[in-house]
Amino acid sequence: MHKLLSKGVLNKGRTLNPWLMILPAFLILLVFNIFPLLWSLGISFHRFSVIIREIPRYVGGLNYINVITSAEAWDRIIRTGIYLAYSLSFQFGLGLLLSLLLFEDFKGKRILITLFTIPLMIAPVASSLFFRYLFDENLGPVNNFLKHVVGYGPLWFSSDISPLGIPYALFTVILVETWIWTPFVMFLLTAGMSSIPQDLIEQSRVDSLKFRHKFRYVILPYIKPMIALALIFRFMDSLKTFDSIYILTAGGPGATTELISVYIYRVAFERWDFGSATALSYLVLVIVIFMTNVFMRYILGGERS
Amino acid sequence: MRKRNQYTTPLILYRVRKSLKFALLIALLMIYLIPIYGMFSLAFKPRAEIYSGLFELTRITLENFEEAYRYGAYSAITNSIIVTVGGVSIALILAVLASYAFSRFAIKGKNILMFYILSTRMMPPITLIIPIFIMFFNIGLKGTYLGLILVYAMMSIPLSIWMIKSFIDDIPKDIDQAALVDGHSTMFILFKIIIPMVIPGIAASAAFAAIMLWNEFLFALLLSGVDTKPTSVLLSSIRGERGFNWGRVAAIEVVYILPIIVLVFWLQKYMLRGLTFGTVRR
Amino acid sequence: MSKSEYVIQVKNIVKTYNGKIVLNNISFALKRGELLAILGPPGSGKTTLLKIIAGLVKQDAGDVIINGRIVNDLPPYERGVSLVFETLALYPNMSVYENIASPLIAEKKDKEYIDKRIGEITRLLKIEHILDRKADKLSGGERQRVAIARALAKEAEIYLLDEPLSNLDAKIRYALRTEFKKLKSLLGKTIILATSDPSDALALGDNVVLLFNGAIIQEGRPSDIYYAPRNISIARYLTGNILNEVSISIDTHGDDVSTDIGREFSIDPYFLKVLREVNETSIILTSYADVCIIDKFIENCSGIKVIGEFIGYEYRGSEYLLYARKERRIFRSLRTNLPNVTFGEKVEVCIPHRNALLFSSKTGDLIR
Repeated sequence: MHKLLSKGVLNKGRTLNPWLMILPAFLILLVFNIFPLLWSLGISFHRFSVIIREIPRYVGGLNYINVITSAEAWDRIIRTGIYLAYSLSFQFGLGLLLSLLLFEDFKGKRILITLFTIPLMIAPVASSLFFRYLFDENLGPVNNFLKHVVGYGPLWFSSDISPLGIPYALFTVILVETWIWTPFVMFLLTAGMSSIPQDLIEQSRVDSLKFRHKFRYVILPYIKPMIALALIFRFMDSLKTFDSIYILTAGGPGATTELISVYIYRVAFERWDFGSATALSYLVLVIVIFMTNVFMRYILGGERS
Repeated sequence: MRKRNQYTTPLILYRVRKSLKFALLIALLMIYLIPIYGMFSLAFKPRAEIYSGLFELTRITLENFEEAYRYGAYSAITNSIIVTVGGVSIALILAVLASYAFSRFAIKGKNILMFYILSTRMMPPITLIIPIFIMFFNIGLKGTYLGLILVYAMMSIPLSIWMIKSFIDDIPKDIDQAALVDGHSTMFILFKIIIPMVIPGIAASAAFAAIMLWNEFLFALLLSGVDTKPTSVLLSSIRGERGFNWGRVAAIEVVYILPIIVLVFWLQKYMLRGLTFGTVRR
Repeated sequence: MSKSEYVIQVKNIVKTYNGKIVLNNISFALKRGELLAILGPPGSGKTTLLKIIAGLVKQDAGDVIINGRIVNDLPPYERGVSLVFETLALYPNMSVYENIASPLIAEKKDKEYIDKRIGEITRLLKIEHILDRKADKLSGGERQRVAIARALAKEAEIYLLDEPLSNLDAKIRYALRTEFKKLKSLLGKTIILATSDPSDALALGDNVVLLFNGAIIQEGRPSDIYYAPRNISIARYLTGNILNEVSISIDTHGDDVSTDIGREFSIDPYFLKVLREVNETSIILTSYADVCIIDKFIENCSGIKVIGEFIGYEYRGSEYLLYARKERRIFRSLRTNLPNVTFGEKVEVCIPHRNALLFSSKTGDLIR
């Protein structure tokens, strides 16, 4: 039905059925998204490996039980949790700082924002590979610089413990991810701040509010929805982090930086255990959906009351 | 009002604070852009000076680019172009049709469909890659351009639909109604009236989809073959080598990211929509 | 099939949006060559009504009959209607020529015919010189003309115009209205014009339908509506809230007549008789500004006369709108010349009984 015509009246013969317009796009999604998704669910209930041309065998919830009771899987999940906590706090802390610095208007603000968004748009594979050069333990420019200044350069890709209490390799991954994604947070927060009415900003100037109060009562209410949105996007995408880890450390040394998506990849394409891999990826999907709902309720719901 | 503020806080303090803030901002920007600068400087450096310091660029040479060419960068870039253009083209045509239908027609279950399309953004690609890998392995699409192009079309259709729909939604419905009274067909209205009005929006959507595909790595890693591997896979394969040439890597990277940097400047106006899937407009 | 006497009949149209009634039982009919003005404040349902007639919105109940044929289930282009949108809805990426040609292209007319027809119409509307311009590069008045031209290009039984003169500044608006009047008699087309401006409706309409909150509250010739508005809110609306009002209380037994502007007034004996005959104790006496007189001295006032204070005037094209105050009430008078008084000076205000309107202050309905 054509919305413009309300229901019932159509330009007979000249109006195309809207389903026909949606169909081609939907077919692609059906074949390459919905179908694989369901198939994947099916696989998760089978014992299955392509490499030995094994015939898939139905095993019920065995894969799920195996995954849930596996110390290895839990280790990766905890690692991912630690990674998420550090990485998201860095991104939001730095992103908030930048957006506050960009709060007031000045000449060239737009071009500055554009420059900040470059790391966000270039391939993580390219930037991560370059960070391997920058952080090269022996000859890299970062350690070169540090050795000159403090006389010591840490082993960035080792499992040595960094001052943050996590291995250096994980720290490096977090550093690179922060470099890539901080502009995303900054950009959304800046957009939220630009929606604050000019009157309110000027009023707060006249009242010469302390920054603490200005932030609490003037800025925060307007950027709250953007924080929620940024948090949802960043949470979802952080769980998917694969490219940068694969390039930087490939999950190593050992399993130091083997976060959940790299782990699933290894289970699937190094051990060829498709059943466990799909079961795990379904668990991740459930966590994503659950957490997204929590964020939406918590932040957007808190707004209402 | 401003004046009053300057009197309530001493003028000098106000100025100092302001310039300190600006200095901090610039310092952060510098730190931020060093890796990008480094990539460019390294790419043009002679091999012997690779570890000699990032900022010194005493002699500019193109030898890294020559070596990158010999290493197969040319075919990798070509492959990237083929799969990106292929994926975006398919996605764009299909998404334009679908987003017009979603924007202008009352369709049963529209909200559910739109939410499903949005939710594809949430799905970890790793969930999809195993069945697609088996599927392509069995029907012989693994290692072909077509296989990767189809998967890329699937990946960029949701973003394109949401973004293009957000642009079409901005056009008043009276325009469509006027065309209906005139007696035009749906296809005429879409292609002769609506699309010309959202060309910049469609171009921006295409650019965002293209950037996503150009940068894509996981699917390319598993589904491309020796002859069809795009740049991201070529770069990742360098990683495994011992004692490789960083100048060559930087040269490939420069060619790989330069188009994106150029696009970023043009896309600034649409960045918010692009980053948020068209769900936030300004 | 015998042609109906009416080009269009609208019968008992009802439309609700989300449970809210937008149009309530609307009926009217229109003969060939007539212009019907639908007059109502913004949000009264005019646009929805026109879109229902055009077939862009489906009514919940009621019929639209064009040339004796029920068109309820016909698509817009089979109804023989043409519509000028309130938003104009020009195709911004197309030239003026392409915009006007649009309905003709849809009808698959040949190039020669299209050129000829566009030539005629653009000459009529004086926009021949902008045919090559893009529609988004036009001024407000030009856009309005192009939109009207596009609607006229189509051979329709009936032309629907939604606020065709709105969004224009006063000067262009006035010029376009005069031109439109000429155009109307020249074309002899059947037209329904929706407007929220009473002066447009009264100046252009052969008949006027007053639409308030989705219901027709009065219809008739412009003069009928102007000189006999059914209730006081219509009168206020028609004058844009510059109606002169005096509340009068009459003691039916004695001679006592009191007003809400004090006791210092003189009243024509004949007029007093008229007031008595009305047989209401409380009346609102109103008059339009062009009837009311404000001057230094008024010799013969065949109505009610008070002495007020001259507080100012504004120039309105060819006339002056004078303001005088008595107690807290403001009186306005439309004169061609300024009286010889200064601000703050005493003036006499006369409301002649002949064209004064009397409303019951209880119900607001017209008494006489």
